[in-house]
Amino acid sequence: MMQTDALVLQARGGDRHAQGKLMQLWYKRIYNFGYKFFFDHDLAMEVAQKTFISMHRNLPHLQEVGRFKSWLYTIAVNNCREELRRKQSRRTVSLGETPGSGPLRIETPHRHENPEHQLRQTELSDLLQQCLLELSEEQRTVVIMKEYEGFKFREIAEALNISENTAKSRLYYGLDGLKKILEQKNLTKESFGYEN
Amino acid sequence: MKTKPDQEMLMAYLYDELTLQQRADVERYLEEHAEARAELQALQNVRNRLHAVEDKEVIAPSFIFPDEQARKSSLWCTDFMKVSLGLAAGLALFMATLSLVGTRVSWSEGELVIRMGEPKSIAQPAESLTASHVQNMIDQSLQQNNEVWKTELAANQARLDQSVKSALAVNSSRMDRLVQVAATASEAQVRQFATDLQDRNLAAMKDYMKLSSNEQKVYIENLLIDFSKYLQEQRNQDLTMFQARMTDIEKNTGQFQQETEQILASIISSANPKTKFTSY
Repeated sequence: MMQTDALVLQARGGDRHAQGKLMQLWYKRIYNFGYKFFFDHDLAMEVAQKTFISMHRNLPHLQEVGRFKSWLYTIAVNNCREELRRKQSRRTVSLGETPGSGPLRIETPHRHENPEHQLRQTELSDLLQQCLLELSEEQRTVVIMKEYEGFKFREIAEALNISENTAKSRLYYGLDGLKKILEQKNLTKESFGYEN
Repeated sequence: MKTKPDQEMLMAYLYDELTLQQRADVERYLEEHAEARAELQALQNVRNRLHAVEDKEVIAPSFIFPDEQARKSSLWCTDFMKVSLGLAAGLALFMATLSLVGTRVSWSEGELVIRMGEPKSIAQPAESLTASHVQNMIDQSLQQNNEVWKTELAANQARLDQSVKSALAVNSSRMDRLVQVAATASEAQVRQFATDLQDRNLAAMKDYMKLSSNEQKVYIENLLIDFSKYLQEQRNQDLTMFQARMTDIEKNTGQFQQETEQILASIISSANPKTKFTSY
């Protein structure tokens, strides 16, 4: 985080190299946020690209360096909402790609593992992504920010411009909703193989 | 903690964002309430399952961020300059187009004239004609025509007179020569001419008669040949018909004879029983 703060300071002064470094540092996180939000590679790429273009334009206006992360995710969430509105208005189905496919996605974390296990893991991951998609946009945003992006409740509240209690409430209902969805889909402990 | 912790408190406990005191209170409640413990465990299980979702690996594209400061500090990048330059460019384009199509703008006597290309000469309307002018023009034209006709007529008359004179001269000279030749011929020559003429006529008549008799001879021969062929044909046909008739007569005769025999036989056979009957 110290590295980010230093880069933000330099980038805010117009240092293009620092801006590039910031993007390299945060691109994967913003892409994955978008991917979990949409379960769609193209939309995630679109959100990430727009977010960093917006970052480049608006970084000089960022007052507090320490709020960079929540500020960046605020932009990403807004872009996600914009894309969601556009997607709902279009109501089209991509014929070329299945969700989760894309040229830049590299499935490397488990490539040395058992292929059968890797396949099962991928299927499980996709199933959970679909469960996430069934949540409301507000609950999904909070669940992703909390569970995958490691936000504190204070940071979520800051990024989404809501109260901490609202963030906690959305998370509670989000987890509760996921529990019911998992039960409906019959995803038991055995499906995951590592329950406490 | 006596009362059940609310959803917000449970979430803060689940994600370890409580103070030590709050955490102790919640744990105390959970120890005493199994259903609350089970609820929290279920949410923790959901969290554990969510960990199965993995991050996707992506390569950040190489954006080239423009130098915003330099761009903004440039005079050319201000909105005013952009608008001004746009208007100037549009005006220049408009003027260039006008000059290309040869547009002329002029103002005279309170009249604005916009013209494309060189002005074209406009034909002035003719002066008004009166009936006397028209009559004069017709008279002049007729007079000119009459003069031309007269000239041509005189020329033709002259050519005709010349031609007649030349033809009369030729014919009269020929007549004179003929009369002169006839006048100079003697009586013997005239007789000789008449004799020759008679001889030629006689020879021509002989030839004609000869030719005519030859043709008649050929015609009569052909006629006789055709007639003989006709007679021969007719004879053959008559013979064929006669033979056919004779054959028919022979057949009829045989048949008549046979019938006669049958009749006689029947008469004889009918006569014999009567004889037998009378013998009884």
